[in-house]
Amino acid sequence: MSTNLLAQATNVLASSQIDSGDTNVELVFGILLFTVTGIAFIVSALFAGSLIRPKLPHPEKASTYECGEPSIGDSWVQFDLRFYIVALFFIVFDVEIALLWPWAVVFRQFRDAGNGSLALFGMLFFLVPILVGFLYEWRFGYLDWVRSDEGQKEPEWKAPAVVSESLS
Amino acid sequence: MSFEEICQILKSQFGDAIEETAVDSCRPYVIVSNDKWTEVATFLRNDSRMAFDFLQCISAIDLLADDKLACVYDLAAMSPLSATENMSYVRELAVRVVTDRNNPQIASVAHLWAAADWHEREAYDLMGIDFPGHPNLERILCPDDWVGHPLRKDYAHPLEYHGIPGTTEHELKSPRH
Amino acid sequence: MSWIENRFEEGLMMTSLDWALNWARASSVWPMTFGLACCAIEMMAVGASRFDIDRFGAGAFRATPRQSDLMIVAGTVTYKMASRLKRLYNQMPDPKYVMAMGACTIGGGPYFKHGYHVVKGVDLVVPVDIYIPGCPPRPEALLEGLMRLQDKIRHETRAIDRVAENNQKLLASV
Repeated sequence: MSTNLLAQATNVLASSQIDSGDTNVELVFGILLFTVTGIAFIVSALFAGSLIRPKLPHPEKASTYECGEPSIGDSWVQFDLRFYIVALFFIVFDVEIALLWPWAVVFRQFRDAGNGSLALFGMLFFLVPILVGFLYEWRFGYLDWVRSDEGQKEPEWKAPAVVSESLS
Repeated sequence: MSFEEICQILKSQFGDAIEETAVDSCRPYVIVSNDKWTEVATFLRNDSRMAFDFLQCISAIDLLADDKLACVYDLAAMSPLSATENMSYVRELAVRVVTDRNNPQIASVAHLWAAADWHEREAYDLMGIDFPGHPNLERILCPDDWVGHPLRKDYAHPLEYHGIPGTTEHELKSPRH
Repeated sequence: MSWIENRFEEGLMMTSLDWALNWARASSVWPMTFGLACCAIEMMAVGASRFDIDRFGAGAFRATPRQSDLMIVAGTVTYKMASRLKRLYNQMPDPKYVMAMGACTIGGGPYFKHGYHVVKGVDLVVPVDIYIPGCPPRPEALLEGLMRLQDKIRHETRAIDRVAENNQKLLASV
């Protein structure tokens, strides 16, 4: 019985055209029933919950931060622009990898079929413009992350000459 | 270099500023006069015969009977002066600086030893010693709005802190000293 | 306070509802990790396989107050931490329970007399349901405390509490 139903369902799904009007109505009715039941379940559960659950609001319950510290200031702060450059780079090279991977998988087939140069130059057509942009940013220092060197400064005190000699 | 030799050098350099040398103590120490402490500390750090490059600890002492507060600086030198010396802790020295209890002030040495930064903040927090010249002398352990310096011997425990009851009456009736 | 509380007399419907809700709550107590000192080590042991707090449905330690029902205060509460503890407790959704684990949380413990910085009992900050003595308590003791908490949850009711009403009347008449 169940296998019968399953077979029917797969038939309906598999055939791209639904031939009779009856099946169409049944399908729409089924979807409608599914939707209404789903909504009814959620609404009834939320309603029952609203009757049963304790409701004790507290201003601290609604606060954003949950580490015990009172939150200070606004979360809408200005980020360093360089973060966006890094994010942009990530997206570009992520897409590049996503395209390179399937290309590398089928490349051998192309080569065996005698279309190797087509596949290679097709990919280069995509890669080279990105590479030029990348080299441009590299050359003009947009990738250099200028950091504070406060922590790496040499201490004012220098080891006495005797000490340095004996250490070396 | 032994403790006696270090004492000799210090005495020849500073004379009366070295008030006392406790050789027989289980941990020998020198008492340095408070107003010469910066000069002595700079000498201990920078002189080629001393070169104490490691401040191990700063301990604050409450000398309630003498109405004084003191700081003990445990110094060590990690670098040997000659090839014959051992490579591990070659020289150690404990320096004690005494100050008045009602207006305790000891010059900061945070610019000489970076470790002194937090140790001095701790001594300030718990003992209330002021360190003129410290870059950021704030409480390090207690909350910022804490009243008093809790490790002093005559410290009275708070009865209440932000609505939380503190010390019980029972404790107030039985003093700890 | 929910809509249904103190609205209906105790009867078949209310007792069944109470039973179902209490069963659900008691068998899925999610504790918040609030390890403050050495008691936290015992709390971790309870979470690990030998003692296995998961047997009681309380193994889902949450790192946020939003998802937890039970705050196991495991360790010394300092005055500095007390405000944070109070805030985290306020952020927990109701119904919420607090377990004071160890001598320090119950009454200051070894810091009662000379600890200038220790709260003399976490019940001065938040309401405590279960006290577990020990320094630190053994994992079995924590499991026992959890079972007593489950007993407490199982006896909760949403019906009109005639016993409490009578008690209040008696108190008023005195």
